[in-house]
Amino acid sequence: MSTVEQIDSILQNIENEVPSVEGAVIASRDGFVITHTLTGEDAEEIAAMVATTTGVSERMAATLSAGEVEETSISAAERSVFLYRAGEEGVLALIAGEDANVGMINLQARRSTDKIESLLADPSTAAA
Amino acid sequence: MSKLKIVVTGPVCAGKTTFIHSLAESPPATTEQRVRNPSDKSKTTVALDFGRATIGGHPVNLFGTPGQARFHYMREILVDGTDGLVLLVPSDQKNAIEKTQELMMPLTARMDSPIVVGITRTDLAQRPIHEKIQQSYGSRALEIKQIDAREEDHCRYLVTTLINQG
Repeated sequence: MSTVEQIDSILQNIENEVPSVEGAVIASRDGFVITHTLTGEDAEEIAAMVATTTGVSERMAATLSAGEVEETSISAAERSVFLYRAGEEGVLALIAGEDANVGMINLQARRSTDKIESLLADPSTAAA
Repeated sequence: MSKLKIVVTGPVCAGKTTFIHSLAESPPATTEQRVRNPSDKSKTTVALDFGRATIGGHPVNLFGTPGQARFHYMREILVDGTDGLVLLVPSDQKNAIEKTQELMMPLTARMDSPIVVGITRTDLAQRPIHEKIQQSYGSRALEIKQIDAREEDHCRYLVTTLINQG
């Protein structure tokens, strides 16, 4: 299984464990898609926005001397978006529906980000 | 005196972040991230740069945009309510004019504030782009000038032109 396929299976596992997760994107810090499970949305556009939002979060944390950003979330009326740091290379974005169980999403995401981080160290993912 | 909002935009590697560093009174807030597949630069702005300056006695808030096409929405957000736009065009890039036009189209449609153009990186390669810029933005730009974004005086001149004539 290729590195990207391994990451895809982690994303699939999150969606299986937490049914309210409707889609996932792994974005690079500079705003490219590494891999994703989205069907209805433009993953490239979302990945750019993930990098922008993460960039602003990190900057705000630095301004507030808050330390390293682990997670950024957007709660909107109908869907939520959760962004988790996956090491130096990437960000895991989970898009959840209205009835999202935030605790479960956080738990599954944090279990996954370490694995994703080590997989992203593989240079083959940089070309994706 | 109310603060002026000036937006600095242009394609990748035009010198936008450098321009804001040159003018900002204290170190600007930047959102540069390491580029994963480095080609011509190692870091790139993913959200915005922000710096404060005083120009001709006016307090000015400077906002730098990202340059890549994929961050178009940040440029659209940042130009909202701007008092003037500094457009930087790198003369050492092959497709600088095309990239600039693509980037500017959605912006000129949503703002009516004045524009000044700085042609940058002329020390690296001088493509004859001045005339093309004149054709594209001549009617709208208050000034089109070769500048070095590392030189505070050059940057100050462009923003002063915006403020005085805008």
